[in-house]
Amino acid sequence: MKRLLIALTFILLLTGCWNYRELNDYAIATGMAIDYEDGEYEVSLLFTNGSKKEDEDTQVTVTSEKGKTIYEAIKNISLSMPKEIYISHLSVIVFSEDMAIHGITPALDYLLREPQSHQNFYLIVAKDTKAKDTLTILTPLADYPSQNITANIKITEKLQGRITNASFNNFVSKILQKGVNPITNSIIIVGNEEEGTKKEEQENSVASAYTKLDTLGLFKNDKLIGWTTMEESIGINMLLGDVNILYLNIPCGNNNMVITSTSYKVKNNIDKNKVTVNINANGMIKEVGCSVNLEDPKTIKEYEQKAEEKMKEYIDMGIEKAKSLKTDIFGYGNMIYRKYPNYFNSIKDWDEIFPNLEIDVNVEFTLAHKGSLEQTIGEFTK
Amino acid sequence: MHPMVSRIKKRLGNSTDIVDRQINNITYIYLESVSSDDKVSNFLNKSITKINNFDDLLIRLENSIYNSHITTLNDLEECYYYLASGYTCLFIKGYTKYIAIETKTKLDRGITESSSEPLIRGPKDSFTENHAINIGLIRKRIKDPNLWIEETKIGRRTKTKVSVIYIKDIAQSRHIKMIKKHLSNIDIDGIIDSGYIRDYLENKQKTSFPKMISTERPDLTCQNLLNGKIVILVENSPIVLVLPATLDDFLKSSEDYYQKSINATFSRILRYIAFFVTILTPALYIALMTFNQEMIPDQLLISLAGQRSQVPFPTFVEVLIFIITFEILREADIRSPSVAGASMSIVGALVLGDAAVAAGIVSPIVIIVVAITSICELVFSDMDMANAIRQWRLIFIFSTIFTGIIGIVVAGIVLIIKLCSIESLNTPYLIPFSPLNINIIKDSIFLVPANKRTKRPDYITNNIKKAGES
Repeated sequence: MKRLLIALTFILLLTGCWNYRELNDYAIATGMAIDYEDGEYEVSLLFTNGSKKEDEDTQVTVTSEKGKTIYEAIKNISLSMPKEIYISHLSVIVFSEDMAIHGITPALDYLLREPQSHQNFYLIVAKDTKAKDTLTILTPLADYPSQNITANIKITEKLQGRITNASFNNFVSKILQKGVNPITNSIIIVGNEEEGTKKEEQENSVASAYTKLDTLGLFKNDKLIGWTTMEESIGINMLLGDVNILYLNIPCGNNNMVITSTSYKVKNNIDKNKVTVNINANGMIKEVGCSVNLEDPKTIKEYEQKAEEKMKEYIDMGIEKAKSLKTDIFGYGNMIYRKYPNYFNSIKDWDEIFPNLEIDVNVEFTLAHKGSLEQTIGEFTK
Repeated sequence: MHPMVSRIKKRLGNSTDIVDRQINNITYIYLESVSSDDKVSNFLNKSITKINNFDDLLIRLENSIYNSHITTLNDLEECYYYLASGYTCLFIKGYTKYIAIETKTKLDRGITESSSEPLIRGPKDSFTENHAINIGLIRKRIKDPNLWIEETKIGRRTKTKVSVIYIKDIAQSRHIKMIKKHLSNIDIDGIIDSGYIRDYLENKQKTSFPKMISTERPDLTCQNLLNGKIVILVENSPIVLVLPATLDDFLKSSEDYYQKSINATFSRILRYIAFFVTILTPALYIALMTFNQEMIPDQLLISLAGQRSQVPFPTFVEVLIFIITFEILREADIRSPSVAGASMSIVGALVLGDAAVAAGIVSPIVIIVVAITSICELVFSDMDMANAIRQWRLIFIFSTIFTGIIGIVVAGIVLIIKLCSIESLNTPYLIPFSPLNINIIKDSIFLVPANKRTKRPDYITNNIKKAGES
């Protein structure tokens, strides 16, 4: 009993963990948006509180305040809050384009330093719109906007080659490593923003506004320096190996044939001035709009070659873009640093050297499946 | 009238159930409340006419009454025990020694089904209040001559028979010696149930966990006897005590051995899960809700926040209110007559479940937490085990109120230390897990098929071989 009492006394002395809070005292922030204008940060927080009655939906509010620092802006928000702001459950952080161009270091530092921050959220840049607005669009398929955006990234990233997995940890680790620069996804608003913020929006069968994932944003350290096109995004993701399902439209007759990848592997051979990238992919046919004889191995061979060319085309566009912006988003510099640390350290600015790096890409594509249909419909009806 | 008879009557305060009668030189006396009038009149009256000599009487009785126990006594003090046990005492003029002959009436209910430890598949009988029947229920299952029964009488006034039963060549003699020593040290006014002596059998360690199995199932008792455990049977009590006991014993059921072993393993794993769930759930809920919210997934947290928003009390108050209410409801359910059961369940389900949420006193999730906790508690049929679990659940809750998850960890360490330090007849309570014993694990959380279980637990017995080739 005496020992038990001593043990209990130690518990009381361990005040570092003394943070009793009722859930009622917290305003749970699930999304954060940061805009930058005239030297001031405007931080918007999306608060999500569960419904009080069983048959009501989740209630969301977006509150924003300005401040010279991000912390100040958040403290300014708390002036209007009846509850303590709780950011452990942030799931997405949206930066405006201005903020991203200005540099997102202050936000990154705050989020890394704050003990409450959980650091497993996505970073995304709002394109052609205020970052705040992306957090206000309600959709019927998700309970609240931040859930909508995160689930959108998480799921689409697996189903498409165009979206990258830009989680906070991923992003920060790329900034901290030598010879690699980060990329993020971008988000746009389609439709009438004002209408989209209304509660009835969740009951409309046709959404008047919705958010949509767009092309990639290329960073140099913490600053956004350019946007890609769709094709460039695919190429970049292919080189990064960040492709789960890739789809290619290949011209065939008057129409197109869609080929998707089922397995995808990238192997890099690093040399001081040359990188050889070997890509090995298997794929299947998804849609054929023309009449070709798929039972003929020659046809298959032909389209395999076309797919390889198409992939190369995308990759070249991606490389071209990165080189023109002088940002090594592929991390080849990092790979060279690991293999030849002395050589890399002798280089002053890797990003200046990067455009001259020779990137040799070999693509090998095998068309392994034709789906449930062995032949094309055109061939059948002949 | 024989002078001793009048002394007896005086000593018994002329109680109304004394019957005495004189036939010639013979006086007999019995208590009609515990004796059968039929037996007295049919056998005795017919046998004892016209006899003056003590030895003649004894011979006559022994020759004419075959199925009753007959004994010769000298000491008058002994007479009271025999009278209360349903004997008739016969006195002959001129002799101080006398004869006691058994004329017991049946004061027992028959062998019924076990109500507190029901089984789906397996023997249905259970112990009764009759000592001889209870011994018989064991004897008929184990016909080994090594099944030894030692009887003592304990209780100054009740003079209750207490039998120590064991299988001589399996049970360890030091265990038997220890139990006998404990029993001989008992100085008590009366023993009404086996529960009266259990405190004497435990050593001085303070713990709420039971150190002996109490059961009313003869099959479970015999399973334990065969493993070398020692059984204590108390007269007038349908509950027998089995020693030594380990934590593992309370997570077993006798039914496990009547099923396919793989299915029994599954049930046992469930019981182990239930053990931890019922102790930890409310504490874990409080810790997550008030200290470590970051551990709850986003959507669940938001839903919980919505449920909590209308409750004005702190989370632990909410949990305590509901747990205490449930315990009271349970206590009331046990004590109340079965006719009140229906109204009880209506009050329980409607008032506690639905109305409490609607009134904003508790949030729905707390009802789920308490429901899971109490359902898992019902897995343990042993009352003492359930009480120990209840006590530790509260300890966990209180340590969590102040420090969250750290409180759970600290209380968990204390619980493990506590369990490790318990000994029942010098047997570690956490065996086979601590100290680790692979041989016994085969019949603890897992149950290997019967043909692989060839050894008895070596912590109870030195004679561990029970089947198969050597």
